[in-house]
Amino acid sequence: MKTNVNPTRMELTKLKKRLKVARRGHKLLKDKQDELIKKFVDLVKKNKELREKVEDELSSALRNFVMARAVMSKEIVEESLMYPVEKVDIDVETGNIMSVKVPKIKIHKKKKKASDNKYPYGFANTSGELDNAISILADILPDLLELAEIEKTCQLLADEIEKTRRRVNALEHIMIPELEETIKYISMKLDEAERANITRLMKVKEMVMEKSV
Amino acid sequence: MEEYLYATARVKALEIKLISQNLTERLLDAPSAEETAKVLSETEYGSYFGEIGSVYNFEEAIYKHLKDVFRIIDDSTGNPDFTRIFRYKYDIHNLKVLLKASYIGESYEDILIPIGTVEVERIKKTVSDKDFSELPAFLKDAAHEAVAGFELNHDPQYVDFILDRYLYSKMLDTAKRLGDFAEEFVKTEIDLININTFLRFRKIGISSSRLKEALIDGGYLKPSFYVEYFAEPLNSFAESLSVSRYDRVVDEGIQKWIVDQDATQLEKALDNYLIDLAKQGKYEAFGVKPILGFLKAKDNEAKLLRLIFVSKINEIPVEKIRERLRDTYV
Repeated sequence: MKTNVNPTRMELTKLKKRLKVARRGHKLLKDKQDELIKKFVDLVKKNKELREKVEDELSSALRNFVMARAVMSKEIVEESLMYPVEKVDIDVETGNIMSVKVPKIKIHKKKKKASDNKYPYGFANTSGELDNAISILADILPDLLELAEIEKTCQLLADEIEKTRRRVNALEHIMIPELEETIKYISMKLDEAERANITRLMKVKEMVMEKSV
Repeated sequence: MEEYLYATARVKALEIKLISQNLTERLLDAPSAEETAKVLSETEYGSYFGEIGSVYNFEEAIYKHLKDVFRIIDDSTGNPDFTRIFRYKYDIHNLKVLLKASYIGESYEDILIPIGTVEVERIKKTVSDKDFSELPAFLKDAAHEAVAGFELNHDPQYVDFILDRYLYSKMLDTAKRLGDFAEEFVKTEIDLININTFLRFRKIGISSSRLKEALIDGGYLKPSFYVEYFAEPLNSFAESLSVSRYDRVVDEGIQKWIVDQDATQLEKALDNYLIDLAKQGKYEAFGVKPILGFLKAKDNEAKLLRLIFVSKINEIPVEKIRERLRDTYV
């Protein structure tokens, strides 16, 4: 659909300039989109792997946990775990992928005391099945946080890709054809005027010739 | 030695009502936790499960039942030492909870267990007043040392280590008053715990200096025995245990542990060893053995029910439960 404009030469030059800008913009956005998608696909692959790993480990930790709970009473399990030995601080910074702001999570493990102990309970009334669960959970934390980081990044990238695609599509399917059509319309209109002018001139010339004969 | 004729007679009558192998099978076959509770309704537990409303509160029913069992034994023996051996651990548990809660600054009242020898309220008051002088001597000393230990290390594990040590030394003292069998029983329990602690330490790779803190003194095997073998290959530990009284634990649990380090079989073997020891009480006509045996049987029964209920509530397959089922007393 053409836009409603005056078919003048000035308008034509203006539109041609706009078309050039639109084409360049389109190309740039298209490149950006391709790159985003490439990054996104990589991340999604990594995300899938990590998620499967984390889910596997979590489910085995929880299985151990349920079994630990089955051989120990609720009160003893809770007492064993009520006072944590490890404290974890998390810093979230922002990174940049193709001008998309993404989170970068950093873990600072703060141990209450320099020791190799991650089990906050004694061994007399607890079961070895609890050790398994705690050990898996303690090891899984960095992976869990990395998963959170990647999943959020994927989400943000997906948003950005959608936005970019909408822009690319708008340029490709609406803006550029519209401009092209308008340019075509104006140039045809101008050509038409030119032809009318020539015809008129020829007619005038003929009339002048007839009179002079 | 006292014969406890009246008490033994009562215990023998109650023994019949313990959960048998047969009933265990029926509990396992029940399709849901609710159905399991229904199967239990024909046992001693029936009325307790009637009181609690939801099966999710099964622990409450178990504790209420244990409390009544303790009362019956106390009344019929006239000697509170029997149940004390089984009740001190709840005092220590409550003390652990309250001490840790005071460090965190939160209330954890719902995980206190009200069947110890000292009322929960009394321990609560002493912890909040930071004055333990009102408590029985062993709890007072334990609390003092645990507080000092925590202030030194800020490691909750030490609180448990210290309190557990006090618990078992108190249990052993009490058992000694009841005679040889009770002493043997508690000493064996200490050994079994130490064996488990030793193996768990090996698996999770904590230093041997901490092992010394975690081991409990007073068993037949001295703590130095474990420390000595800590750096040795597991096989040599198993060998030296297999010439001790714990040869069966080696055959049934430790051999498999060496292969797959799986806690399930090992802990089952350890528990079964103690139950087997307690079973002597079944074949004795009167005296300390049947009473202690019965109390251990009840303790074991609580474990059994807990295992079955947790498994049923979480829909754990029956074979997984079976792997962990301990022997029954009857």
